[in-house]
Amino acid sequence: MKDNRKLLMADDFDIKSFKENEMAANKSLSVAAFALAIFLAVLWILIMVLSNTRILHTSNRLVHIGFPIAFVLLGIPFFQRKRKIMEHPGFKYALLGLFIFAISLINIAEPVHSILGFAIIIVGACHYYSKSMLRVAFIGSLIMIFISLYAGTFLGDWDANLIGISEISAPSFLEITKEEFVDNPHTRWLIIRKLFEEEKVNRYLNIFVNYYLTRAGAITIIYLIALQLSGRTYKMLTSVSQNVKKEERMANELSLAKDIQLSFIPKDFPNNDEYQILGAIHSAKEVGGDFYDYFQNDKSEVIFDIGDVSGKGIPGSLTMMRAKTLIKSFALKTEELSEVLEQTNKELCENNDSNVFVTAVIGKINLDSGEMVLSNAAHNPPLLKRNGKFEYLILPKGFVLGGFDSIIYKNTKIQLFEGDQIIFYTDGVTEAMNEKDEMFGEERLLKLFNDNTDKSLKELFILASQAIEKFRGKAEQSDDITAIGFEYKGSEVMTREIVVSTLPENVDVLSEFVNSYLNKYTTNNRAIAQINVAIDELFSNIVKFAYHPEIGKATLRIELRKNPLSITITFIDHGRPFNPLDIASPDVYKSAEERNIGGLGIFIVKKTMDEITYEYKGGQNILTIKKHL
Amino acid sequence: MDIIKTFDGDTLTIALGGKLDSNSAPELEAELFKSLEGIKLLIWDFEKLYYLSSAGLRILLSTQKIMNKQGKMILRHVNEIIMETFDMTGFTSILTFED
Repeated sequence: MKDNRKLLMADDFDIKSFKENEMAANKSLSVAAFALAIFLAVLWILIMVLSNTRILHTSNRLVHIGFPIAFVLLGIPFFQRKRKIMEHPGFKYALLGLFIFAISLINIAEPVHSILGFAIIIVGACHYYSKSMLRVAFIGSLIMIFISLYAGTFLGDWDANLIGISEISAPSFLEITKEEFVDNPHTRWLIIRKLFEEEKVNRYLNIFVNYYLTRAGAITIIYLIALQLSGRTYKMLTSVSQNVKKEERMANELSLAKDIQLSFIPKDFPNNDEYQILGAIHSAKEVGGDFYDYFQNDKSEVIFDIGDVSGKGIPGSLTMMRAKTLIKSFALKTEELSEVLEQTNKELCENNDSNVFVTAVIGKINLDSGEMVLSNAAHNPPLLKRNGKFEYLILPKGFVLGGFDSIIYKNTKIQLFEGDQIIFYTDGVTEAMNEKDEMFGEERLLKLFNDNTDKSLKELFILASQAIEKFRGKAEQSDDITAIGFEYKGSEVMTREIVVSTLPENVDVLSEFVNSYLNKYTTNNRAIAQINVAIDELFSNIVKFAYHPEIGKATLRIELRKNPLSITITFIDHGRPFNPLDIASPDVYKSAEERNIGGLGIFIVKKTMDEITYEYKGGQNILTIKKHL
Repeated sequence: MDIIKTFDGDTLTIALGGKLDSNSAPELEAELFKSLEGIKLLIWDFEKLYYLSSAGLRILLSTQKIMNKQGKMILRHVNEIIMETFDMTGFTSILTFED
């Protein structure tokens, strides 16, 4: 919905911009009208002061009535500039009418000098880039020139040329006073008629041809030029507005693309008893070339990856979508991560004419065992926190995806332990530039993390992002900044198994095996010692009874449960059925001489363990002990 | 397992280190029985012994039986874990402890 609104706004653009132009034109014409009003006012005052002097002679009634009306009317729009009425579509016609009225008035009053005033109307109308406006101005001007010419002949200031007789010869010619002759329309009409009779020349036609046609011709040419100018400007404005519209649409589409792209990247981060995943992405442009992803396969293994496409913008984002999808689909079908990269690489190589490459690293974790497999395609080395210290995990380099289709990738296995964190990031982190063109760098990143080894992934991400931002200062972000982190919290149930020959010395192998896991979960030495004693008692029984004198195989399976912490140890052999729980408990109150040692081992196990069970099933002796830790 | 034997006339001190279990018991047994002749006082130093299983108890019992005939056997520096095993199995009443 939000985006529809954006598109509508883009379509509205030229209406909006022409409306703005109309406002501007209204304002500037209002100012021009005001200037003309002041000019008329000054002229009127001068005429009042200087009338009947040798410098200026006029006793024209029109000047005294028309000028004040004209300059009051012309002054009005100026004071409406900040009012709502400005926005009314009729305002411009009102302004135009006002100009035509005022200029016609001046033309009638001063027919000799004012013809240029009509150009003002045409040029002013030109400002609206509207043909109809110009047409109104032009036709209005033509009509008003005509009217004012004839009206001026009788009502305006005396113009000897119009009438065709000088003011010196006229009074004698008509036998009237000079004042009567100049100011009286009737007298002027009489003169014209007389001349008409005497010379057989049509004076009205003379005015029309000599005055009207030349003036109308000049105005027509101005009109034609104005028409061209405003048409061209209109086209330019329209094309600019279309370009702006296009750009807006592009920007809008890019931002939609970004939304789609970001919606493609998982944002719900699991944080449970077994693990936490956290991802962050900050694109430098509208659409980026970085991605991260995580998902679980049907074996409950968690797979997470990060990638960086060599191109930015649209090509980068398209490849990013493709690479991310390919990795996920192959990773869900293929066991080996190296093969996932190999298959992805082959796909990306096909028709890669634009030579867009992808660096990526994938990790897959078996949550039960904490075993992690990594495979790298020329990506930055991940950061691994182990024993409370971060280090760069140097993986076989591999090669970029999409380069050559026959690249072989390698797997690296590492064992994760409780509390271990592994962080993948893109080079936007380490290659963030400041204003001096220095890079943030791997060392700074490592130090930042090692100064904050007690922090959660989220806190680390926030710290890193703040540090990068602070480092960058006023420099622009040049590359996408992306990271995904994984924290292993240990499995709820961890199951391990070992198979040994029934040789007495193998009790050490079993002890070490069990202790290696116990020591990670508990510091309860007493319980560890008791478990070791139990292992010794039970395994020595198997050695003695299961296959003796032959040597067979015995399996020891441990299950470490986290909540509440407990260990279950199961001993399995395929030897003779033998239930050690049947052995009678020794009498622990007898003196040394009376004592027989038999049964003491099982007795100790029963006493120190919380549960002990035996069953013979499928040809197997299965003895299980459990102890809470 | 570490076994350190110290002779002082008819006194033998055996210091054990590590764990005394079914795997290490035979070695200790072999070491012990060739050394007990004429010994009137046998001292076990368990300071560095972490734990023992019934195999260890068996040796202590048989040695106690021998020493009951030819002298005295005492145990020193027994840790809590081992003491608990002794308590549980009634060995506390047949062994002599001295610090």
